[in-house]
Amino acid sequence: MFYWPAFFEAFPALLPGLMVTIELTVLVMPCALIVALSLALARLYAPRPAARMATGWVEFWRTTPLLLQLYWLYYVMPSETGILLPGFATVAFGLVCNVSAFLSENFRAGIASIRPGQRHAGLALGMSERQAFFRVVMPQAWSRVMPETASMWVELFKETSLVSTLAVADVTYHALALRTENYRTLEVLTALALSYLVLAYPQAKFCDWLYRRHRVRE
Amino acid sequence: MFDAFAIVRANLAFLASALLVTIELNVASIALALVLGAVMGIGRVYGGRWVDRGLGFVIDVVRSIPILVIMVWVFFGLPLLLGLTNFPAFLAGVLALGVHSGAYIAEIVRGGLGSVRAGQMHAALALGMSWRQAVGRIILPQAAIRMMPPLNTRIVRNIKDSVLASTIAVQELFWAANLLEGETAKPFPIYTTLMVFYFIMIVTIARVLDRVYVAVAARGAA
Amino acid sequence: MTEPNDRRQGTHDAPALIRIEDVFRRYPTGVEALRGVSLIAHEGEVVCIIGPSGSGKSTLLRCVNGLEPIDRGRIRIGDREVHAKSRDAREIRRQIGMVFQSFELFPHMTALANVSEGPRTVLRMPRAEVETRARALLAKVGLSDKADVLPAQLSGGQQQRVAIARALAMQPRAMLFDEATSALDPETVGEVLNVMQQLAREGMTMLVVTHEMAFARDVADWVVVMENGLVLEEGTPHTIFGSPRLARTREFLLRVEHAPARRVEP
Repeated sequence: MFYWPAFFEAFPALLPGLMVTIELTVLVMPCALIVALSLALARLYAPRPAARMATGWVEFWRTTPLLLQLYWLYYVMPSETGILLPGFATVAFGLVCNVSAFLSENFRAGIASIRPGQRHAGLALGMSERQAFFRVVMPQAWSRVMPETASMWVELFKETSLVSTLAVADVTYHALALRTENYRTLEVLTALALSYLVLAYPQAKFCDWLYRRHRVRE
Repeated sequence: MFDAFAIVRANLAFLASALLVTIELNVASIALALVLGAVMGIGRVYGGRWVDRGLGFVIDVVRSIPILVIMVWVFFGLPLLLGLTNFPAFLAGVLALGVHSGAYIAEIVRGGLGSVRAGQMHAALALGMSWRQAVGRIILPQAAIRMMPPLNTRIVRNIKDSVLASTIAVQELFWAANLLEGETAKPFPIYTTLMVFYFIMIVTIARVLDRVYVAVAARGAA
Repeated sequence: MTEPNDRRQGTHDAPALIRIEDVFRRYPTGVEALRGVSLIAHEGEVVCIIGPSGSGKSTLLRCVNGLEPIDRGRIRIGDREVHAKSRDAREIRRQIGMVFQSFELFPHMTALANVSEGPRTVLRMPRAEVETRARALLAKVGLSDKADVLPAQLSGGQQQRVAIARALAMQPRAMLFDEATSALDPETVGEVLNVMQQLAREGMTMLVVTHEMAFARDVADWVVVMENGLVLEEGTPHTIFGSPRLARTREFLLRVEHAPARRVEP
């Protein structure tokens, strides 16, 4: 019933898609980190209206389904604004918005968990706000937000699979296409699942290790 | 501009019937996930070393595969593996979402049970309770309260993930929206309405779940 | 093997209720908590176990009601032997109440529900009867007005009194106290000790691990000194506190007199 040759042959066919998946993840994550940090800082330190807006923006991206967000960007944005980005850029943009929203919430909570006295101590030493943040607050917050950030990376890696529904040729897209070519559905889809598993499993284990290592000690 | 939404108003009944499917899909899959999560979580904590390891591996496998891939695998692949013809998409959606969320919930349950002090188990056993009574009446109720915040997050996540069932033609809300968009080629009113609707629905559900948690949280203090 | 010392010189003629014979307990970590302990508690007798932290006192209590297995030796309650893993363990735990250093009240239940929990779930007594009994016990420990309060809203001393009432609700044949006052603020220690003293007067058989030397001196019928998993010396309070046989016992007693121990033992 399970035709092994079709299973093994699927992997080379999936490889180009896998590269796109990895590319997308590697491209989106650093952008999302920068956006997330800016959003977190805006929510914590910006004047109230700006902080409110940042919070609203984050809440929007956190509470609606990612697939719907991607569809909206992909179909509505060009038709209403006339901005026609390539599919890859559109989904990358959507993923950055989505992932950065989740990351920024994590950053905000992490930074807020550092006692204000720490910042005061830095300022009392004559540091600038910026120095106090980057040299005193941030390093302490980092070990609290790092595990969550790492799992967000794994999450992103898996969520890139949604772009296949918008004709971006990632690994899932390749698999679904291959399935309609050779009709070896079970073998191809199993190969697809295994590809994700082999790549994501060690990452997930690494995250567990980070969680254990950085468990909050106070 | 406002009239752009006429297309949505004209199809309200159709969208409402699709919303019903979304609700059914979520109720069924969350129920399945809670049962699976509780069984696997309890198994990991009290089942001994090998059960813990076995379940841990299964859970990690499920958590390493995207929900979309699980969904298409269950819908297209599983019936081939089992030799089933006529495998309903709705059932596939419930299974995929339930197993996926269940794996995450198992870890939440495990963490919750682990957070209850060992002395509580001793105290319950010292009263003469059976293991089952001790877990059911003493450990689980305390753990359940601590598990609620992450559980609520997971439930909300399940609702968001449920739009993926549209890819296997479960006739839920997002599927209906896509169908409408395909027929009318008016993405703006349709997807915008849907976006606003999901936003309001999920914010409301999250608020309600949070209220429930706050209401019972006082009893979790230890 | 060491025979348990049963010579009470006529102070206690009642039959032995708890009989511990040559018990060994080695933790998986390799620590030998008990290295051949024997002792007897007669019916209606208060036996206080004293000794430095880490001497195995608390381990011994947990072994007595089968919360921890023993590697060698024998523990008998009445005519039944205690086996940690067996179904009998439950039967024995029903007959023996235990009070913990850290109270271990069930935080999700009110004081009344805590006291009712045993009769309800274990003895399956009718609701009304359980409530009468629980209220009576709360009154006995002086907490009638706290029946509907959650443990978190009670002071340490009040929590421990509820815990004692919870154990009494099973109408046990004997009570085990595992450093019941060690986690308490000094000002609430007295209220718990008073309850324990009242129990002793009523003729409850009690095995009390404690750092409260005054309690041991005034209330105990028999005092057992433990060190390093062994019984160092045992005797009437008069002998142990008045003229201990061993230098080690004298040393220990001197130490606790100068620094009243309120340490927390795991």
